[in-house]
Amino acid sequence: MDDILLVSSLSKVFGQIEPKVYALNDLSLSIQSKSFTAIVGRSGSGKTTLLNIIGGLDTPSSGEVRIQGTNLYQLKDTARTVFRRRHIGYVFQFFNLIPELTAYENICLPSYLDHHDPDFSFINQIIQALGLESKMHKYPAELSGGEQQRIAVARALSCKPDILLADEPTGNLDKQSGDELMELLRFSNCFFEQTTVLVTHDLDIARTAERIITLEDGRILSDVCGGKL
Amino acid sequence: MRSNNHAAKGRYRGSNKGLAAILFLIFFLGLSSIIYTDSYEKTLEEQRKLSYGAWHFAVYDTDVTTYQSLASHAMVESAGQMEIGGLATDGNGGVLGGVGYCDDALMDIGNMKLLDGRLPRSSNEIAVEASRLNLMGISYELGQQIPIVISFEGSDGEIVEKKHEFTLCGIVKNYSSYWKSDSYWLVSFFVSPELCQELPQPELYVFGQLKPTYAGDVDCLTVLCADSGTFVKNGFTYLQYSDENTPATNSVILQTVIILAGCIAIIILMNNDLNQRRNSFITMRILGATKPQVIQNFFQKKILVILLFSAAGIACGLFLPYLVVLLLNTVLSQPVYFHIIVGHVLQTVLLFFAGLVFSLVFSLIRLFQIPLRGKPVQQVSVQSRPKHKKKLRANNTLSLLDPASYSKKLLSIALTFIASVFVFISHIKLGGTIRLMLNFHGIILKIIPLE
Repeated sequence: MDDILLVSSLSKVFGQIEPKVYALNDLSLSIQSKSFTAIVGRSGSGKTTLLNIIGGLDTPSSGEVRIQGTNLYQLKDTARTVFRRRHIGYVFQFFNLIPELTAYENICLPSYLDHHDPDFSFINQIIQALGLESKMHKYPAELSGGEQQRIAVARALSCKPDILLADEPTGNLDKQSGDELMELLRFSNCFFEQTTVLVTHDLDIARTAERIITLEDGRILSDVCGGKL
Repeated sequence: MRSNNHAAKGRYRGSNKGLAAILFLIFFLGLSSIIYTDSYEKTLEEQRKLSYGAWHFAVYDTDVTTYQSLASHAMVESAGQMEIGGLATDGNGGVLGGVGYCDDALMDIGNMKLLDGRLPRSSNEIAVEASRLNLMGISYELGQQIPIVISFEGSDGEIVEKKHEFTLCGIVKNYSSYWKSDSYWLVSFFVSPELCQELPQPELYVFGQLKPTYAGDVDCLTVLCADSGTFVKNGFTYLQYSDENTPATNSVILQTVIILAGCIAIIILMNNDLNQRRNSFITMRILGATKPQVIQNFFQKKILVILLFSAAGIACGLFLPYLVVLLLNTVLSQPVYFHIIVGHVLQTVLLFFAGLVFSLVFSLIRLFQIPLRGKPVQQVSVQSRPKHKKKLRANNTLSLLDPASYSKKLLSIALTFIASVFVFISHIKLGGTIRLMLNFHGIILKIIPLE
């Protein structure tokens, strides 16, 4: 499989004066297309910072991030925004749905932001796969946490992104809903061949991934297959 | 399943009714106040013209040359003359009024009216001001013989008194005590021109009305009569010549208060709306919305609201004063004038739009500062469905003034403030209007210039 994501010598330093805090310290990794990767680590190990930089939400102090060969941080702000909406899908811990829009409108939002109609047949396929048919006209406040997170996954997948980034997607769900969501992400990885990078601190969840990268103090501590953790 | 093209265009269900109400009130109150002020001043001016004459300037004790040069001047619309042949006395040295005649032009621009009868056509006829008949204890019966003692300066400079018997042919509405005469006696006893010419050394007074374009340039004419006569401006009728030019100041205060309160209310409302939707905008930015898209999203529906409710406010602000004037004219005996000065209206609308744009700039700056990451807020609240807010209807209009809501409280304070100032200034002006009406109905006999 080809590498869809290449991270080279990535550093993120907070603070201008000594002692500087290294959230990421000369970190390099590659992610293969259609893979399912989990990034684990303790709180403060740099997981979310890494995901934000991969997703173009934060800028690195040094190093580069290439997605499908495009160096993300050589793009100007607007171009990076456009790149993000076309190539990267996000799932957050706190769902981040737009409360004023219905579930269906939330799912279609990324396509409309990209000035084109959504692929309705694909979206319907996702909705059926996620079992959300009856929830489409409801507002986020009318849905349970698990349902909201499934809507967030559907929204992230609706634009057929090159890479799906999930930041603690089960962190705000109960055990059952969390397990269902992980099944869903695995399903999207298999069924839609969706490259997925998942950040979690839950090792049980991480073990469901094909590959597990462990971070500590902004460096890669280990990089193993899921079952070997 | 709905395919909804409006989704990313920002079909937010956030309430814009506060913005709509504020905009409507700003334009409605602003235009109402400016039209009210203009109409009030116009009505006042028209009523003053009836009392104090519609002439802009007078030159007392002048000569024919000056009259001719003024009458033919490019700035002058029309000029009339009054000739005083002598003074009517009560026989004991007390002066009753001037004896002389006025030409038709002066009768017209002076709004001098006959209450009964006609002006004299022969030397033995006379028309007298009503107040002078009262003073002399003579009834208003036309055709009766009345003796008048006329006092005038003889050819050798001595004062001569001569008694005449006249037939009363007309009664003239009171005017002479109201006009700005600068201590000169005006004609109260109207005789024929022939009789006036028979009296030695008649005095000539000239009254002129300027063309509307030059109405404010009356001082230019003083040079024409610098050496001949006393130049007087009609400050009773035309407030711009007097020191009593205060209505415009009231109007400016009112406009300023409306625009300030409106701007503050809009800034508060926009700020509140932006705070509520900040997390949504952060999410949109993460999903790939550019800053212009976020700004467009925020303003799209608001621009529609701004245009619709500004237009509604302007329409009502123009139409409602018209209806009020129409209603007043059916109730009152004296006409009330509906007067729109297009320049004032345009100036007010532009000023308010400038204030509106200024208020929205604050939101624009904050929208440009929307970050890519924010404090995550959980949106789960399964039981509640708070986003379906009630539409503003006639039966819940007062919900705008709900004191339990912080934003509504601020809004209600702003609205109350605007309304209070409006009522306060209206009250002051209403007092003036009522006083003016009482004057015209004769309840207050002495007409005084309004403050």
